[in-house]
Amino acid sequence: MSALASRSASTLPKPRSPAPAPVLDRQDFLWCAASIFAALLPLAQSLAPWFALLVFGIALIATGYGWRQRILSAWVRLPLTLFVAGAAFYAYDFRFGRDTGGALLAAMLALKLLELRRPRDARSVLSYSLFALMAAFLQDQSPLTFALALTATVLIVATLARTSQLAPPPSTFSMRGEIASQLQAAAWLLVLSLPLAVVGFFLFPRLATPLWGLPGNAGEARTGLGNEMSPGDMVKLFSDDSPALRVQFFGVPPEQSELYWRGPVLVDFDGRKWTRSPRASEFRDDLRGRDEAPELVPLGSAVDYEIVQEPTDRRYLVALDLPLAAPEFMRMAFDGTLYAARPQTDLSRYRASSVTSYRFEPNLPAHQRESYLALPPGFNPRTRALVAQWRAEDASPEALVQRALDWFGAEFTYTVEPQLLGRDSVDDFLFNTQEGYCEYYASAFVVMMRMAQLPARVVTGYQGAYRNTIGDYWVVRHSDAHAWTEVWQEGRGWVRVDPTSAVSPARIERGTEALSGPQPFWGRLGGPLFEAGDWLQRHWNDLVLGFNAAQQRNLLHVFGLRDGSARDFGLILGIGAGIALAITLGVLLRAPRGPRDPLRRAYAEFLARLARAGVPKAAHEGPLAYAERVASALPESAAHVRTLSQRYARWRYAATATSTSEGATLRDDLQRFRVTRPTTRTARGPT
Amino acid sequence: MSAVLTGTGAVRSGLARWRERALQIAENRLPALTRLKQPEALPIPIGRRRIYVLPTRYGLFFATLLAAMTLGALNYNNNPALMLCFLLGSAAHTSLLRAYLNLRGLRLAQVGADAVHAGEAQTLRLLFDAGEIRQRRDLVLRQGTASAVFALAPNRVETRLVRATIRRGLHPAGRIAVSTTHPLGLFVAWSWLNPQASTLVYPALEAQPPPLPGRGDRGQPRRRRHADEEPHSLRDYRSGDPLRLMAWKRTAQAGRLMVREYESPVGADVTLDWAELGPLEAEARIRRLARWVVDAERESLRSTLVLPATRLGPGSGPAHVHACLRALALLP
Repeated sequence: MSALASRSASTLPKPRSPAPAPVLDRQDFLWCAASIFAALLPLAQSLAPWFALLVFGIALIATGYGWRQRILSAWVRLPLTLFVAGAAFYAYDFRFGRDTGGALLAAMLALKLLELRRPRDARSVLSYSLFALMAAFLQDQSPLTFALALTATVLIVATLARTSQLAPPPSTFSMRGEIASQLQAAAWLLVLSLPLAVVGFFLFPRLATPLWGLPGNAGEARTGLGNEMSPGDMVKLFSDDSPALRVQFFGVPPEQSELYWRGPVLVDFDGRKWTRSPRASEFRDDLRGRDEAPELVPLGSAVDYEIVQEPTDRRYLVALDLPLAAPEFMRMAFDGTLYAARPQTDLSRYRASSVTSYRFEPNLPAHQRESYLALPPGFNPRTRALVAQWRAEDASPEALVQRALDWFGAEFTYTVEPQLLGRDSVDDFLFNTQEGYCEYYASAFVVMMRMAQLPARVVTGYQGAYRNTIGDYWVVRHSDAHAWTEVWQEGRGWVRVDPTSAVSPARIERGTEALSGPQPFWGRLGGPLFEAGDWLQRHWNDLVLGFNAAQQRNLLHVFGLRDGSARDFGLILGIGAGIALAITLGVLLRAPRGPRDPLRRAYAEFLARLARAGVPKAAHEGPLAYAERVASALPESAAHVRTLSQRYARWRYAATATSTSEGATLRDDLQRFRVTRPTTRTARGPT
Repeated sequence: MSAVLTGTGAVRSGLARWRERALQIAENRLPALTRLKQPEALPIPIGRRRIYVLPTRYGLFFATLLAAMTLGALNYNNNPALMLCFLLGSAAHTSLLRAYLNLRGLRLAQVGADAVHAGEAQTLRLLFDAGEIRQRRDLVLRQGTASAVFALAPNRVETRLVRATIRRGLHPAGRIAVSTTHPLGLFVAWSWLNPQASTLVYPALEAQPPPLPGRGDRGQPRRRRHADEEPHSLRDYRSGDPLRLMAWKRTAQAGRLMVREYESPVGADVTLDWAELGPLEAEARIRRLARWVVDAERESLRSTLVLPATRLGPGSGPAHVHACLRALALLP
């Protein structure tokens, strides 16, 4: 046996992929750079603007270096890396959270461009950029982020294909054509992969409860209602027009002035800041504990509705004042607010029924009564004196409430830019500035009521809603944030009193828009656009973000699987995957793969035109023989067909390679060719 | 330092031996692999039963990354991220299908190679048939350390695999791996081709040979035939006769190809005799005889090769040289 044969027969080595070119060429580098830029974009949305600029700046410089095929010295790179990492921590106050991680990832991805040398580096960079997309989704799940991420994915897959190709692709005439065909091939690969991806998304078993919690953000919390309130807190919310809730009413929606969306109730006051009662902390984990919800007597018919609440990172859930009962997996706290067991980092969807007219907690236990009367000693002496005077004149609760409201209505003004308040904030507000917004009025009003020995508390939440006419649902925006009060009266229970409505009734009847007038940006044209955008977002929420383990179970019910055992899951997933693969394989086997030769395609179009003119090409005919036959059949375009065919034959069969520009012009000429019709002959056909 | 090196070397060779044994067991146990040990008649179509697919190293890395991402997305019930993960996973799977389809239906139509002397690089020409109207890209041929990259337009394509030759003789084309990692480099699909074809390797030529026997005076000017020199006789053309011996006029007259035969003066022919090479061992004799055959042809001498079992010539021309070298190559 010869040496050759014996060597190849004795072992059966798996062929390894041949060693790729050791250094990344310039175009591959640019592809990688483009992929990284695309992957940074969705992540940049959630970065601090200056940090995003820093990251893009580094990426740009690195691209410049890579384009000139130069390497920045390690003595510069290392300090730069440390500096950027330091900057990332600085941006988030030296705390580590999800956002700090995202910032670091973005920075490292940009820095990685500086050391992109070999195809291997390129591939690892591409993998990390996929990770960056993932990090972007942890911060933001809007359709925009998804669209950006999808674009980046197409680029990344195209770059992956490019860096792993061993030989250049078949002839393309221009750089633009090459880029387009590369991107097209990647997009086509992803489209082909859609069936299996969809099956996986809907049928892959979901986790009903997470294995570990989502790491929190180190930076600023999400906009939303807080667990405390001090003067000035809500201004930030007023300027945020993003939706907080979307509500669908089943039946007749209540009047605008009845739309009080109840959030956290604040009881304790330290002279400046309102906080939830210390008793609230008792509820932290005892969702399953005894039901403490106080007595609630509905006085009107119930309103059914479904709320989708945007993520708040807090446990409260907003409901129409006042919900009759807590939905599943939630509980109603003693103060009538709904709470979930865990901070809501995702969309929350729940159905509830509320009554807008009710008698709530007619019997207030004595120990609770005290906490609703408590005030810090030594604050606001002028208010105390005034209230004492009022009580002396008429001590009935109704009279006191009305007197305070009348005073507000007569002498106070509503503004979202009030003057600052001093130490005795209520005195200052009532007797000096006499201007402010809901927070100020609610705070002062509750203090006054407590001084009058009437149990009272501040309720935060939202007031009003904006009807989306396209989708027929209601949007409550963060700018609708509101604070009002509840005063307990013997026999009537907690009565809602909104001191702001006494000052600015329009605020309550028409929402915040009434205050600022029509917004210039939305204007007349912007309104419908905004509504359409929100409608899209709502469906995105419904179809994509809202899909979870519970919805998956509902989906399986459609297939007649009730219990959702592991076997059923496996079966349905297997069947689904089988169907998806059959579709993909069917398309793959049918369609010619890869970018086709543009010149051949142009020639095929040329042939098709001639065939329509009545001279189809026979399979055995060569271009030149065919051209002669065409020339005799269509003498009007004989010369044109002959030259084009000769050029094509030369390009196709000549031993010497035709230059690419020549190929491109031939392609254009072939595409421009039209059969010349004889002008004198009248149109044939049935008459 | 050196101890460490030898240590790792020992480990590596141990690993290699272990791998070889494992592969041998696999070959014995898996009939599909064993079947392909036998050379097959051409053409060899690559069907689904002989295509193997495994992830590449990068493919494994990619899978790990994707698994981590999917777990995170599932845990946070982050649906856009989950969509991205499933899309990428599915794309990886589609790339597997692509790699597989890139090979499936490919046909090895012909294999051939020009004979070369041992030690020279031999170019194996493989003619592939794309099968369907379809592009096949980034195909890699590999045999031992030799490899070649090729792509197929819709038609046939000839690809060349340059491999080293070590020993003379008639060698089977051997097992050739055709593989592809197209399109994403995540999976490698490969198949073995073991065509029933053989390639001839002539013996190596002796580097510093003694002069041709009976022509000790190598320096003497080459014998020239003059135009006026009368041919001794004419005979019919036999394939392999040099063109310059053609008797064109007589051919035209006779209507068949005629060749002049000169009466060769003594010493114009060389006899290369195996037996007369004295104490040389067999391989050295073969190398020397091969060299002499080539030298004699270069000097336009007619040569006779006498081997223990056969006698070739007298003759000259490429056909004669090929016959002589072939006989030498095939000596036991």
